[in-house]
Amino acid sequence: MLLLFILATWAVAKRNAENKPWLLKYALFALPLPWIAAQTGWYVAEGGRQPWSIGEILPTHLSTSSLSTGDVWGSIIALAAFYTALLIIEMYLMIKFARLGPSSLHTGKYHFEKQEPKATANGEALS
Amino acid sequence: MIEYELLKIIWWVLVGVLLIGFALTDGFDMGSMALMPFVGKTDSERRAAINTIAPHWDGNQVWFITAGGALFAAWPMVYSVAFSGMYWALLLVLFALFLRPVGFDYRSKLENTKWRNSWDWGLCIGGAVPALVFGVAFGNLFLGIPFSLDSTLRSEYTGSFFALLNPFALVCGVVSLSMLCAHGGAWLMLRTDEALKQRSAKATQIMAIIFLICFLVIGAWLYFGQMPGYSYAVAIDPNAALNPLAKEVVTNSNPGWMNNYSTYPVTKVAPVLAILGAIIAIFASSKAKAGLSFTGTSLMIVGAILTAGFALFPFLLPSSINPNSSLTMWDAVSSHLTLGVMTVAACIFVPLILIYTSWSYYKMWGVITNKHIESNSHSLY
Repeated sequence: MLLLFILATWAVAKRNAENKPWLLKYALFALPLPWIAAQTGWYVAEGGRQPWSIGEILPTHLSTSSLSTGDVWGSIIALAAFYTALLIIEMYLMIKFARLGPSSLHTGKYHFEKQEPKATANGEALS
Repeated sequence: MIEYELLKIIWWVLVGVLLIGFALTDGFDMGSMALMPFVGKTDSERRAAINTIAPHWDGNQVWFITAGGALFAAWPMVYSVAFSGMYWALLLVLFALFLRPVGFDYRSKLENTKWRNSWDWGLCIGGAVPALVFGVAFGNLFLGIPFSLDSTLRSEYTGSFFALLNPFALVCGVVSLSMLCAHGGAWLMLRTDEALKQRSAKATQIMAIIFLICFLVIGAWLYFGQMPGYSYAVAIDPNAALNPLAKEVVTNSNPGWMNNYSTYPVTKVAPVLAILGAIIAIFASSKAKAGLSFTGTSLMIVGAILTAGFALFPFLLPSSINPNSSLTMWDAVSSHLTLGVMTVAACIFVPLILIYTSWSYYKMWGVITNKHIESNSHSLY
């Protein structure tokens, strides 16, 4: 991930990122990396500090709330369901607008708008 | 360093200021979105309503986050008891608030009417539900929250979500919902025109009338309803670091929660301000005077929140099952050092937030018309 940051900063400064397909592919496949980094960092920090919530001051069993297991399960399931629904909507919109490209803004400046109407007919209906 | 007692008072005032700042700014976001499907008949009108707040709503939400953060840092006990006690009420607010950012961003992406209508109702829920629940939560403070503290100061909450929905608290919920709807309506009067502005004026007037009636009902209920108020049985040393369990609290129905108003008559300014604000809003909206209506609804909000704060002082979370466990601004507070550090941080950052917020309103002020929406339909929210 750090390597990607360095390479991408370099390419952006040189303004030649679009000529390096390997860098663009690398960036695409690196999408899950920050998420993995955040999760593993969380496990290391929280797991490694047990049995304390605040090292040698507040033990975990005293810092937890008195919520029931059912309450916690209920909220986790509700959050997971809600975010899954949002993910589906988000994916649908992302794919739709990625296909349309910046021409979906209707500014008349971008790729599809400069071509014959036939080319845009391949895409979905413009919003 | 400033004395501990003074710092405790400063933070009681500052949390109040943050709550009022939240209600004044995010209040019109929530209110205008709760009204949006009713006052906006056409797609352009609804979009105009959304675009009056779309560039500002997350900035306004900073007040909410800061109030939550200040609660966590200044009154950690209140934070933990309230948030794990009223867990499902809080989650309800959270889920309703989730609908706002996605609603603003997704709504106008597709031209499908069904899609847009669904998000409009989502935005309406995202405005109305938090406004209602905050009022219900405040109402329950007057009744006392069913919690007790054990010897390690962990709280045990024995109520349920549905116990929060009692008649008194629900009327308080209507007070806060109608208050924020009136404020949102006055905001739409300021920032929109034509039919949308007229309907917003009508909504502001109706909501301000509902607020005035319910606010007076709550006052009468507290005064004549023999509702027990809480007070210290033995005086405490406000300058000391206090254990919340080391106090004796008595409840009495006369004068109940009105005690502070008879002891310090100057506090009566708060309810007078709320009533005056409502009357101004009712008359100004009938004459379609946007600026005056907004002033009226703002006074209403400041007055109503101060009314509740003054009545409860120094209590923050009264306990209904074990009054000695009640949390006050003298004993549920962070350490002297924490409050000192936070005061320095607040002196630097609160003015900064005020400056950039005012600047962004200044830059994005103006009436949003249907024509503006139609000619920029691909770049606006």
